[in-house]
Amino acid sequence: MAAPAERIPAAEIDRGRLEKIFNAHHATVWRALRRRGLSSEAAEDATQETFLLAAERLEDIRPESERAFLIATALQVAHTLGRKTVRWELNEDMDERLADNRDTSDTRADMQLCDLVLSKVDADLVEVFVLYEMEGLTSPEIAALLQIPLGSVASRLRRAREQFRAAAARIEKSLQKEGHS
Amino acid sequence: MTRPPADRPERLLSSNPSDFERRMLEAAMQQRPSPAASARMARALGVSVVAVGTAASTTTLAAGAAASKATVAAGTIVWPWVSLGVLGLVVTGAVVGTRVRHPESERRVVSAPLTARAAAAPQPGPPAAVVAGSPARPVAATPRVRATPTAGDLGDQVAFIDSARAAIGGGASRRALEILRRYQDKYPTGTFRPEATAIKVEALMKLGREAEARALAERFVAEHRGTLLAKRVADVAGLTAP
Repeated sequence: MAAPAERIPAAEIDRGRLEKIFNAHHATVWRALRRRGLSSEAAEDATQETFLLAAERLEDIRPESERAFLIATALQVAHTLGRKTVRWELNEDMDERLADNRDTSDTRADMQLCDLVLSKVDADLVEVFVLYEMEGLTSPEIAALLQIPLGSVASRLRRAREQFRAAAARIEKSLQKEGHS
Repeated sequence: MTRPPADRPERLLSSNPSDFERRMLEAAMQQRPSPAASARMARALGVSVVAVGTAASTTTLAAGAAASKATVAAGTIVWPWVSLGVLGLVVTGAVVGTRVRHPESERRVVSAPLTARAAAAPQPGPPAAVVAGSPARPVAATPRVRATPTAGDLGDQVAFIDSARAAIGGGASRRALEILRRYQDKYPTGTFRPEATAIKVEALMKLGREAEARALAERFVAEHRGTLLAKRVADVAGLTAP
């Protein structure tokens, strides 16, 4: 078997396509990893890993399936990282920025609250919730991506929503008691 | 009233969420990696990243922005504005196939060709529906030609600033000053002069050269009054808030 460096000439890399999908999807991949509970640094590493793996299989990825491929790969990369790197970070994160013009501290607080609420949702449900509600994937896309039946997507989504809303209500109530909301 | 199909339920944001739920979801959906993080990832892949910012500029910037966040974290002061300074720029990967990782104790810092990394990497298997059945193939990396001299300059400047910042983070204030001196010699009208000065103030303070630091800080604050950087510099030098 040839050494890795000899397997494929550099010229065969479609760097233009890699660049295009990186720009189109790296924020989505990173965000999905963050929502899965990775710190921003771990999410960065996992995003990088995801795109490196995508680069290796670029020829195999259908253009219409790039996002699904990337998210699927990212979730598996996150899985291989193990639980020790997965943690919900509620501290101020200096290495993130916001995409709009809202007050930074308010938006940051809302993000952190969202992470807090998501941390209250069962681990096997939160992925479906994030992919459907926050990343805009369709149920069939999620079913293919997680390799679960469509009915399971629907039931997980329903239960995830119930848990998300219940946790949100509890947290909102406690914030109101403390006079923060 | 029509109901959405069972496999396409209405999304929470479209189905009467509470204000609290809406706020949280919208905020989380806006979250993005920082420009510096995007630059590091792009550098590792050898591609350019088009920053999503408000700046009209689409200058090209070489990938020197791959700063060591670990060393930054080790410092007592974080300088986020240095990275924010590149917001809105287009970052070009100058080193292809270099892996940029956060050097935590359990992580390796590898600067290896992509092909070598690929051999050791886990091979997640995306769903069959997504890719054709061909096996994963490692890619080889080739050095990327810098787009323009300006791009190279900017990348070089960012590398200077990041090195100085890393030196401070690692407790090497003298080295930071030396890096800044070289930066100022090489780029007397450099783009990141304000950031360089801010770092210099901190380095001087850490070296106990407080009078020098305060004098520099006072000039800086006067010139950049009202900016976040000026506030930070004033803080570092112990001046009253600008």
